[in-house]
Order: sequence, then C-alpha cells, then structure tokens
Amino acid sequence: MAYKQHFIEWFSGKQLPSYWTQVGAGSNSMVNEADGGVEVVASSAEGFISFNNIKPFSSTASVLIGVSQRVTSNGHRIGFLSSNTIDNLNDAYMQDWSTNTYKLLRTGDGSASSDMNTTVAVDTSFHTYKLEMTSSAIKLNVGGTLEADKTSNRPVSSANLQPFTGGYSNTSRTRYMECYNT
Amino acid sequence: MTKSIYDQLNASGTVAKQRVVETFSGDALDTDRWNLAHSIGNDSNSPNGMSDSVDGGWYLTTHSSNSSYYSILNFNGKRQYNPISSAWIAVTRNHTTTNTAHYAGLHENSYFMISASGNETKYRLSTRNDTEGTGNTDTSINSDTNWHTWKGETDGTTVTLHGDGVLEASRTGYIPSTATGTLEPFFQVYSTSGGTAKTSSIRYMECYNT
Repeated sequence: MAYKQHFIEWFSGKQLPSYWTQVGAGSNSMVNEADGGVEVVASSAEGFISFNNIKPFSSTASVLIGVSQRVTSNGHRIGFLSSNTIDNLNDAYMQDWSTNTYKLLRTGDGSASSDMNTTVAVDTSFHTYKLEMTSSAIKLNVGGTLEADKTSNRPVSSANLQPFTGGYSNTSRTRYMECYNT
Repeated sequence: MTKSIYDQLNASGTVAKQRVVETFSGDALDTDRWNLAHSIGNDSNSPNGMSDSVDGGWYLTTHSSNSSYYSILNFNGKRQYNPISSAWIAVTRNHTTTNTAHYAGLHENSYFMISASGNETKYRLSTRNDTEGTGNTDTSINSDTNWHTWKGETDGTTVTLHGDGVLEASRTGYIPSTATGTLEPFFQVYSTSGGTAKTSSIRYMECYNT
C-alpha cells in the first residue's frame, strides 16, 4: 500500500514554521517555558493557525492527534477545517469553552453544525485529543478514552481538510500535532 | 492499519511532553526552528550548510582568523526543556581534534553536554550549574573525527552520558537545577587557537522532556 499523507509538528524551536499561517485577529509565538509549545492568541473573535487552505486530509479517512491547553477564558478549538472560517461549514473539532461544563465535539456538514458533549470537564490543563474521521462517524478520544462518537452533521466526503489550533477571544497552547490519512 | 507516531512514542493515556526531532536533511537549515549565531562576523565568515554527501548532515565552520571564536546553533532563547527531567540525543562529528571545541546538548547558562575541548584526549560529559560551578567527566572514547551517537539525560540528581549506546559517564555535581532555569538545544564549534578554521557536523538531534 502506498504511503499516505502524514504530518507531524513538534512546536519546538525559535518560531512557528512558515508552513503555518495565522488566521484572524491575533498572533502566535513559541513559549519560553518547559513543555510550552506554541501559544496562539485570538485577540478578538476567531484566531488560529492553519495550512491556509491547503487541505491534504480526508474527511472520511483521517486522524488528528493534538496535545493542547486552553489558557484563558472563552474557547479553545483544535481539529480539522475545510476553509479558513469556522462553523456551519465542513469541519470537526474539539472545543473547550470556559463557560461550558464539558469539552465537546463539534462537527459541520456545510450547512449546519451540532455538538456532542464529552464527559471531560472544561479546564486549563494540557490534554491529548484524538479526532478520527471515518465514512460512518467522527470519534473524539480525550486522554485515550473514547468520549464522543458522532454521526450527525459530518463533513461531506468531497470536503478535504486542513488542521488548525487556536481559539475564540482566547489564548491557547499546543505542543504536538500529528495528522494522517488512514 | 496506519499507526500514529504519537502512540509509538507515548504510553496509552499519557499526555506527551515537549519533544523535537531534527534530521538535518534538505537544501538548507530550517531557520524557523534554528538560530545560527556567531561570536563575531556573519555566515559568510563561517561557512555552513547541508553537506552534499551521504550521511553528511549539516556542517558548521568557524572563522579562520580569530581564536576564541565560535558559532552556535540554538533556539534563540526559547527554552522549552526541563533542567531536571529531560534528555537529548545527537549524532555529531568533529572534523579536527586539535585547538577546537565541539559541543552538543541542552544549555542556557547551565548545561549538560558532550564536549571535545581544546586538545583533550577523550570526549567528556560537561555539566554546569550556573550558581555552583562547572565539571567534566571523561568518557573512554578518544577524541577523534568519527561520527558518534551521544545521549545525555538528567533526572535532576544524576546526569548520564551514553556514547554509541554505552554508558560512558555520570555526574551528580554542578548539574542544571530548577533554580537555574529551563534549557534549549544547542550545537557549537569553537576555535581555541587562531589561524585555522574548525568544522563540526551534526546529522540528527532529538530533545524531549521526561
């Protein structure tokens, strides 16, 4: 079987690699702390880093693994997008929003989005998130445990995806990301 | 079934700590990740680049006309590695064994690193605690011009150095501590006597918190 697209990012160095693009209002920088990774500041509304609409990952056969942390109030989001905008589009991501009770999986099919709660309370700790895109469901693992298995409002099969991490009027940190087609 | 690299590096359910893997392969150094600095002069005074040879990695040469001159590769002060719970692996080569210094490891003002210094006959584990002092422990490996795999690790009590897979040196004194601050990867070549350029090469570096 031919090797499929596989991407790994350590978020360690003097600055973010240039294959990432800052989208929306905000900024990013490497954190000068042990285990700090990259910090993405969404100064108002949406702010995140992405591949700037270069989308090598399948909406029906791919995986994203991220190690990230919500630092401040409002929302941290990490996952897959089909464009450089969020919601009511073809997308799938973990959201940790400070005023919610639980972390959730949000997915969109191009016209509508919906949420499925996990059992993991929102917090400001680093967690490992694993998002699995299949032809029948989208699964979110948190810390190695399956927390959401969602079949509604999934991206259409023709929608290719790019990874992103960031937030909404929020600061977040990410120290690992891996994406691959299955 | 496609397996993740994450699952091969981390036990199930654990949250991965900071790690970086650099393979020094391509048409140029990754200058988003790395900062190349010189004690004087600039890149044109200090030839460097990817080697156009099998297993050549990346090389760095000092200025030819100055002693006590060095060039260093680092993260420009982004210190993401734990001074009491981290490890580094580097595959390096010193091209000369006289009047040169060849360093690799994790550092800031404190460090734990492999060193081939001046005209020392053996590679050494060198450590520094910025508030206490500096120490060196010889390995059994002669200072030479061959490629070697070095692995340094600290648990905050003992720093160990493996050379080519064998435990070669341990140190408990003058090692980095929480008080001396976090660390960044580095690779350095130093000319300890003027008039002759000194070259070192590196083809792999991995650093991670444990």
